[in-house]
Amino acid sequence: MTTAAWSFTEDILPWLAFTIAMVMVLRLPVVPGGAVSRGAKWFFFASIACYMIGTTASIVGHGTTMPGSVTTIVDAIEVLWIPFILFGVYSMYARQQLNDALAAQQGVVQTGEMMESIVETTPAGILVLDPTGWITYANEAARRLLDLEEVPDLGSLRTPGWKVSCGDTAAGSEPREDFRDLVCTEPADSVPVVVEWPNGWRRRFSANSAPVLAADGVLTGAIVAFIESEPWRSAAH
Amino acid sequence: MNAMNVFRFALALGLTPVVLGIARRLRLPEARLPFLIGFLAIVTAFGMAAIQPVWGTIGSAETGAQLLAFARSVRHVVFAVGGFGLAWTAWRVRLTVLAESGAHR
Repeated sequence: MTTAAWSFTEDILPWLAFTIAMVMVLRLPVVPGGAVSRGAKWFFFASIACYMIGTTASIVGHGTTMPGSVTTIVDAIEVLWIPFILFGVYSMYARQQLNDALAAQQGVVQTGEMMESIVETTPAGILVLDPTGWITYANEAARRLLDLEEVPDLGSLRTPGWKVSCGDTAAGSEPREDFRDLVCTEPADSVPVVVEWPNGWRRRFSANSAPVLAADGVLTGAIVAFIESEPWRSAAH
Repeated sequence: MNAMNVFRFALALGLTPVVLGIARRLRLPEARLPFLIGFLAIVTAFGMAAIQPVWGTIGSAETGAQLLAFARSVRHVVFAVGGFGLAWTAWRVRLTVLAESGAHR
């Protein structure tokens, strides 16, 4: 039975404060990339609900003596406030970390796409070579200049059987079926390269190469960019 | 003393550095102060609840009863401050999230 009037400071004020807090928490927006996760929102809601139960029980049972079991339950529920707040804050922190990781990943993907566009649209030929000088990647211009063909299913590149001579004495050096001479630990600029087709056609290029080194310094290949230094000519010329 | 209240206060006090440490790492600078006020007010109210019976033992029975009633009122006001602090925090977080998402109207 209620025998005393409600106290503003003891009953109404805390109830009002936590009701406002609960409404505010329910209005937290869960948006993609936002700081608030659904889990955090509901943990905060649960933490405030712990107090709403206590303050509501206090108002409803005002002036009456609540059974000891009810008081114990209400007290026990209020103990959950701190873990719920902790879970909520940690959930927001985890969400923030996840957002950062996703943003970083998106940045890497965008940069990769941009670099790929640059490589594919440049008029210079660009090759990625493995340590033995074989071509593992060629851009559109390189495929056109060197007559490279993609082998279906395998994804590897097939040459028309040309042979390559690199270096200052390119024309006189021993021709190879790969670009091994351009794979070295130091970058090289304006290296003359002669490519001779089986039918006797020759093309002369000027190539720049840069080594690709693993984290431990081991040479894992090279990047070669080249342009035609002389117009297309046949062996007869 | 109520063992549950003492346990609640001890738990809150023990986890306070963890909660505030994580909260400090959140990129929500506008919500830090309200959260600090709200959180610490509630932990203080826990502490006041834990030592509540002590007030009744001070002085005469009448003085003790008056102190007890006063302490209870103050505790509830501190609780309310905590509630308003959390409400303020949620409001600031909401504004920040809406501003960052470009959905603020």
